[in-house]
Amino acid sequence: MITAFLASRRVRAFARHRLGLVGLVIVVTFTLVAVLAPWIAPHDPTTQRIATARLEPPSAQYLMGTDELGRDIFSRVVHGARISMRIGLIAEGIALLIGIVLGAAAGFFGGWVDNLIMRVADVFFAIPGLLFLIVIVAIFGSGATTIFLALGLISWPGEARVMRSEVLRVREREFVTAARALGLRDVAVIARHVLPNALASMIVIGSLGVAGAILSEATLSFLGLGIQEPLPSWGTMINRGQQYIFTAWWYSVFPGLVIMLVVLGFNFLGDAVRDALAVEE
Amino acid sequence: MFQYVIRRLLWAIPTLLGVFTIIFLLTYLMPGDPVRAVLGEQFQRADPATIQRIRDQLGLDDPWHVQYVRFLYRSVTGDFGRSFVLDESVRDIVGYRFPRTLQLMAAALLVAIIIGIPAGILAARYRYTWIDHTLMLVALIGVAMPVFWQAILAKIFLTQDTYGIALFPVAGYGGGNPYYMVLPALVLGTHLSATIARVMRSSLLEERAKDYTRTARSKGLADDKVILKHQLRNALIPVVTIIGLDVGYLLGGSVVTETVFNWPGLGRAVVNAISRRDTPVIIGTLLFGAMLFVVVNIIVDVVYAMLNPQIRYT
Amino acid sequence: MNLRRRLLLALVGALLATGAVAQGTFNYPISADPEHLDPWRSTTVATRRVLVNVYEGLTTLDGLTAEVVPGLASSWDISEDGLTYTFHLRQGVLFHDVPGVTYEDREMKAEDVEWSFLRYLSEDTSVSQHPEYLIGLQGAEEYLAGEADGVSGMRVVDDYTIELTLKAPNHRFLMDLINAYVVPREALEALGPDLSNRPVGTGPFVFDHWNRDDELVLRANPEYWEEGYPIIDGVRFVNVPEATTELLMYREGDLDILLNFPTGQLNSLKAEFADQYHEQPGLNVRYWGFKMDEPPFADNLALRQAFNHAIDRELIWDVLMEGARVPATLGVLPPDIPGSDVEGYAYDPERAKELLAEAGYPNGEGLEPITLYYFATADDAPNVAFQDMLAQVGVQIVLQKEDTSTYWTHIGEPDVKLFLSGWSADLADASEVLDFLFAHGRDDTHYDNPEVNALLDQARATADPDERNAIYRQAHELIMADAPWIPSGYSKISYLLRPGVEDFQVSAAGTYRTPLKYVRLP
Repeated sequence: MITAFLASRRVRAFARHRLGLVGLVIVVTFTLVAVLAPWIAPHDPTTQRIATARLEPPSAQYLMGTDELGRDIFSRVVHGARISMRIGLIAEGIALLIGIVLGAAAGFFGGWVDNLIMRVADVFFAIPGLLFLIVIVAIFGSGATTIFLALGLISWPGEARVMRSEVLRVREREFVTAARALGLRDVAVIARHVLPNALASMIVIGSLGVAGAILSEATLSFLGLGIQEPLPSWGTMINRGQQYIFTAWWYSVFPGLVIMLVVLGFNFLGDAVRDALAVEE
Repeated sequence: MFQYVIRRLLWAIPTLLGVFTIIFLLTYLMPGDPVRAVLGEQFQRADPATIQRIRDQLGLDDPWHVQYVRFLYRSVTGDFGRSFVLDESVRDIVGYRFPRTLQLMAAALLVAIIIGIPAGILAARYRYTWIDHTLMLVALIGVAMPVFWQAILAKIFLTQDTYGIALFPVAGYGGGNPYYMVLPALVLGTHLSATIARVMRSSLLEERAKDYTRTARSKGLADDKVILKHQLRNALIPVVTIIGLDVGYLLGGSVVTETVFNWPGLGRAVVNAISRRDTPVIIGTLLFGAMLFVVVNIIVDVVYAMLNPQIRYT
Repeated sequence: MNLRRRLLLALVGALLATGAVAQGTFNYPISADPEHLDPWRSTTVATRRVLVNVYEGLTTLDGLTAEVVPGLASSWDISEDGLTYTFHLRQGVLFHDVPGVTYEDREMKAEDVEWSFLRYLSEDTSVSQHPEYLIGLQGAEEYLAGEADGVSGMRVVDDYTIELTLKAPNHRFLMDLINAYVVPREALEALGPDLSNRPVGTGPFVFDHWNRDDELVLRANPEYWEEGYPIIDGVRFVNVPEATTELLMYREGDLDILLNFPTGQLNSLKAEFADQYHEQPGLNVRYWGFKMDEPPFADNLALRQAFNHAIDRELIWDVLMEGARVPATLGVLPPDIPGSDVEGYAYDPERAKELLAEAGYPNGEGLEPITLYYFATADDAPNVAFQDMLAQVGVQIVLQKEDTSTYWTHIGEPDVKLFLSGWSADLADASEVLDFLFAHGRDDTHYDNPEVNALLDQARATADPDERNAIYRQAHELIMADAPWIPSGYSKISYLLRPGVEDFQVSAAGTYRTPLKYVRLP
């Protein structure tokens, strides 16, 4: 089974896609970093050394230097992976869940169901996401939970649209028609025949969505509405660090590079899956 | 076609009502008090009687359904009322700031198209070569950098001789001088140009796999000519769609871009209004943005139809 | 602007740059636009910063000493009982000559003062938001309530004399008059509501134009009453919302002054612009406030004192924030205010631990984690350091940053026990802080000490400044003994000024009160 999977054309196409592999490595690495953060980080991410090690440049002791409170930036970046990955993955998970269910329903049933769901999607499309986020944070406070819930709640329409078009694409194929003719219930047909076919597209859009969610958290931090201190958040680090750009470049540059790397990783991954799909078509 | 547009416009009504309702409920739920913003630092100096008079005159203590109907009525009649805090009507706020945001968005779109489409074509034409990889890597880096971070780097390296070269003004509207628009448009457009390049590339590749391309090629047409003559038109369809959907992104992105470049646009006005709990402005501007989004997407669909004669609207 | 940019500008210059700076205009950054320019409703620093250059009151603030000095009134007499003020107006003061406004008489006279002042006493908040400036006049309350046609305590004696009579002596009256501007009636009649976007007054500068969120331009008033002033041709307020941008613009010469320092660049900028850096003490105090009527801080003086001793204010402001503020080692009053010289709570973690035990929480045991609320526009770092310093003595603090508007309404509620706040005194007078924050439970701390209330009432009615300040000092000591705050830092007014710019007069009241008419450009 595994050999058959590895030998499949899609997997081979993916493996040929070198950037895709790089992306996979990046994503897996950061997931591991997030999980193993306490064992990887050399220092406690919240220990302050204002009097002794404020804004120290990178050294053997502090790999990425220290911030204005004397906290080790490397340890904060490592622990920040937990927060950013969690926000990215959960937010996109929520968006995918809502998007898949509603998109599948819209595509499969058509008619007024389709119309209703797509009009609701239009409503969410028409409200600029960032502004929606700002308002939600003003109401519920800027915790990680608020942020990923809000992000999930506003990003599903894109997912739903893609899902819907995937369903429309496979709905009329023989095997689906046959399954329905055999008397399988709609839900079963969707779950057994439509979803697996749409899965790959969902991976593509999902990986891009994770990247987008991580960037959104960073932007929120820029507006002063990010994760609460003293929790390490990449977005907050870049934003606070940019104030020190002329005196302590490491403060914002390292978290900036890390965000870029992770976002790149998810994008590479998504692209590679997309290209692998194109081979099949 | 005409009927189609009318039908789409009619469909926009429930959408806009939904947008209005969500925005209204959110602003109603937002804790905080516009009176505080009206009085600013002097809040504690003001006597409670004055504060209560302001509340009454703004209608802040009315029940939610009264306020809902009031704002709905105003929105329908197109008179969005006056800002709670600024001495401006919502119409003036939008009327003055929107053209400036539009300038910026148009310039960003132009940047995105000028960079994105040729990059996408080149990458597809030289698929899997170093040209493709380099272009796509650059495009991805464009996607991967937070907008505010790009803006800061751009300002450090392109406006100062200390660290880079002083090519552009640091910030400001410059009385409409297009020269002041270059940097903000670049920053706002980077993300979109990267997206366009990637979509252009993949949709061109899809076209190249299709039968008509093979036929054309077997007739002996040169590769570049095939691209230009046959594939480009079809490949542009998804690009146009992406542009339509990204109007929302541009509106959101303009918030940050306008802040770091002192641009007197609508994005900043909305954020200020939110932080001041200036409900009429929040509702008016976001509803305006939603209308814009709807209209642009109708236009996009019309363009879509023109590019793709197979699609017929009934 | 350097040469390369100029060349490019010429190349691109299909549209001419109106942003190009005319010689003699002072380029002045503002981080936010004024909400409006209405003299009767101006409340924020943002509106004042512009209006003090366009409008004038009977009195004004001295640019350097922040003392009350003659404005449109060249002198005044105060009756023995301290109730009646007779103002002698300056002669030959002309209202701004602007298109669209025709005057019967352009000279500012007592009737104009009366008309402007009556408008302050309006119940309609869309007309006036400052009845309190003049509400102390005899008959003012009746007028405000619509029960009288005029104010009995306001009498026009002749064209150049106006007499104002108070219900009770109030040493703050002359200070309040600084902000009670004299406005020409004809301008309101001609412009209507538009006057709040196009101010017309007697000041040294005439309003020119305002492109919102972009620039607001004033030009010199050629007919200004003070001979030889203003010196500069005009002022251009440039909207710059972000500190790093402001710095880059200053470096490039787009601005003549920098007011907003990016956090963490103070030390390096002081070195880079050693000849352009100026600083002096200001009148703002920042503090962490306890909710005085809610557990755990209610009725637990030792706990509040323990918190006070646990905080190293010098480390926070001198090291962490690079000297952005003066560490609040005294009391609740900034050092420039008479009566501020009381003893503060010194940093002493050992003493803090002792007090914590005395408070019933040895090593913090039994004390639930306390949430510190602060607002989104405040710097995070001092609060994060605060959390750490309290952790050192065993107290758990949770940080909660809130959107600024949410925060301001939230801190008054009972669930908030500890919050960051700040206060700006307009003038170097103890009443500016004590009356607003420590009288009758009025502030969000709900601090209410009958003894202090009585002293403050007594001080307000005391005419002799030395005697008054002695009473204020006494009240201040009582307040500090109750420890309703952890004073954090006193503001510094710091700015960079382009070399050769002279007479940018700054008093403790802050740069927004600077009379720009005296500024001289190189």
